[in-house]
Amino acid sequence: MLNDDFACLFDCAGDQLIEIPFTTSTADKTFIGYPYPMKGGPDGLLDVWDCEFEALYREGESGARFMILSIQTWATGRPAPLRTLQQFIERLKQYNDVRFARCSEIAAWCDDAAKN
Amino acid sequence: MWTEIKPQQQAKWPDGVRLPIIISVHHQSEEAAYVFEDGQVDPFDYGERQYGGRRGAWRLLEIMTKHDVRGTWIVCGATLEKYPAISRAAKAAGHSFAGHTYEHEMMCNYPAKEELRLIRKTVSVFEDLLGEHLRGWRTCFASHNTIDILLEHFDFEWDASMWNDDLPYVIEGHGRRLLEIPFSSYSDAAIAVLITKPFPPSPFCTWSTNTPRFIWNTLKAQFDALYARGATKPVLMPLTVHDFIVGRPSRCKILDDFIAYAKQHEGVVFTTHDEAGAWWWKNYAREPTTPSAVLETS
Ligand SMILES: [Zn+2]
Repeated sequence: MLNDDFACLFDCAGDQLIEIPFTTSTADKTFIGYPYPMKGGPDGLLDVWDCEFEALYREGESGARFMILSIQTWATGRPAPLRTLQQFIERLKQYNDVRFARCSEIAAWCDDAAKN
Repeated sequence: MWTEIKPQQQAKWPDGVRLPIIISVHHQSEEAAYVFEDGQVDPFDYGERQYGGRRGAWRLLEIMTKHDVRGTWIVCGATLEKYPAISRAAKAAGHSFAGHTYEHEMMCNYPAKEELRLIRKTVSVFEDLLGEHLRGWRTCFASHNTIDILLEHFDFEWDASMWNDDLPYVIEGHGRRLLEIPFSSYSDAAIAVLITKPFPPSPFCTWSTNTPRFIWNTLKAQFDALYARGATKPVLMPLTVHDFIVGRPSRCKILDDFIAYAKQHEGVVFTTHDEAGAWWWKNYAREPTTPSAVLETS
């Protein structure tokens, strides 16, 4: 789903499914992937990732947040944007309160939070 | 029938107001989602837009609250029915409101009778759910009848649907006067998204976007030019933000930065259409002065 920025638990007649939404607003292909408009190139990509991170990090002071990045092998996988990704990750690793997580970990967290 | 009153060349804002900025929060969420030929809504586009009501509008309100600024919430009737809590919170925080048709109908595609019905319907949703008697209107794509309908059937004090000027102007007809407070797509932070053909965006594809830096540059250029001109002439900066577009974190950050930047300038006032309208009315008589205008009927 694209309609939220936090996970939610669907309860369907006893079965449960955790929805972890994503966003196209930070999608790599828009900025760097042919034949998309390629607005800004690798710098544009870094700009949108930085802004997304800063906004969410700030909001994370007062509530749980996560940032989701979808990247395409054929787009960010190319040398120039790959270097952008590498620099971005290195920068994030300097924060001791930023965690890289798998969707399964987010889901487990959400499941716990729903039980409590 | 209506006419524009020739602008009063000496018209000005109150002392101390050099550049009023009116933020219009378009709170329309999923109302304009793309519909396939078979009548089914495009789930991808629907979700993209529904973000506006679920999250984006709240984030916009949060940022405006953080900076202690108010604006005008431009809300569709159906959106107010689906998400009343956010409009109530905006009202409690002192924001103004305008109707934005019922389900974001593009009025240029509707006959006058239907347009009248949809405006009435929207007006009553605001009264029922928000206890708000609307003073302002922003249509989605005006028809040739919009202004006549607003003048003849309603008591709106202002309309903000036109893109044809930089400053408010008075419209007279059907025995009364209405203030037009125009806006522009150049200071629409929705410039974040590229509108590609076909419009609405094509099925299976979501919005293509510009970079946050691009939005920043666009807003800053607009602001700097208006602020400089404001030293000697009356100026106005309309700033449009959509809940589902600018409500996303990366773009909201630019709005956040922009408000902070603008607030550092003396004489910059973040205001609402209601307030700016009341200021501008001081330059003009509220009632028609020409008897012919009073006698005019539809
Ligand atoms: Zn709209």
